[in-house]
Amino acid sequence: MSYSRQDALDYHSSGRRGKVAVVPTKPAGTRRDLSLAYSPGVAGPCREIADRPWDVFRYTARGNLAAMVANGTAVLGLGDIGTLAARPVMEGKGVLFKRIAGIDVFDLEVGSKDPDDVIRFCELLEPTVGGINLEEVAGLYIMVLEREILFFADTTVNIDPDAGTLAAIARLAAGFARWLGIEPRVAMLSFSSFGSVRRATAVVKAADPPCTWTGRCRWRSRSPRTCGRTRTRSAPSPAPPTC
Amino acid sequence: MLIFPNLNAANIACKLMARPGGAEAFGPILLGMAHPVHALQRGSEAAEAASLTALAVVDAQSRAAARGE
Repeated sequence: MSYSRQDALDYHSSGRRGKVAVVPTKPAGTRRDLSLAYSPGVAGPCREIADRPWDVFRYTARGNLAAMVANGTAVLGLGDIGTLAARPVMEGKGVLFKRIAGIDVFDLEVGSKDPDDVIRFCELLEPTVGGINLEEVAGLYIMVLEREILFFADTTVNIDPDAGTLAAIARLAAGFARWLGIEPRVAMLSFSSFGSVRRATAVVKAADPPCTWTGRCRWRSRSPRTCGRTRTRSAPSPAPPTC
Repeated sequence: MLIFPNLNAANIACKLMARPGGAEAFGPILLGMAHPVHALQRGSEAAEAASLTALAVVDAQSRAAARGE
């Protein structure tokens, strides 16, 4: 693969300038089409969304839209080259997102070098963009010790998961272990004996395929070495381990 | 397999085990993605990048095999 700097300049400036454009995804050829796309027809979805905000993902492009935000202070290996010079990179990221994942991207250059401004800008932008449904995504670490392998989750994605998300994390992590050929013994750790972990454990137990065993637990009773030998007073008796 | 009640607990436990604890740590492995995608932590060493790359490659190959490619 070889190309010159001039090739890159030509690539960006030939034909329509830049690398991205916004394209309608619905017919817009007739007067009727335009009346549906904008006023007065557009009032229909507006009212639906006003009643049920979640419907924004049904009637608008929000769910497939990501914001690519930069303030130009750290652009690839180019450093602090400013917002304008950052634009080709941000458009390029948009091209990658579209090409690889089918996700639409707005590239947004923010005219401030103050991180607080950029963060605030992103916060205020929340109604525009979709983002990821975090409930079905988790991060996991594999810990290789001398005599055993431990899996830790979620280390990456869900900051403060509720019961449903905890259950999803357990299911995802167990699925990964099985993919590696390891039948997991799952422990739902908690600091206290109350709260979301208790409800998550109930969900996990009802899950299909069932894990070998699950339980709310403190480390003493649920470390693999002592698995099944002791139980916390408050934990309901789990199925005996088949490990 | 240890499911932690929140991210802080999991991360602190992870770091303790990997650094003073001396365990060999692999990750973070992203689960639930439509394609094999992983994000290295800042300051990762080359070996960590290599292990995650290997995992992503095997994942991609097994997904391709499952699709009959």
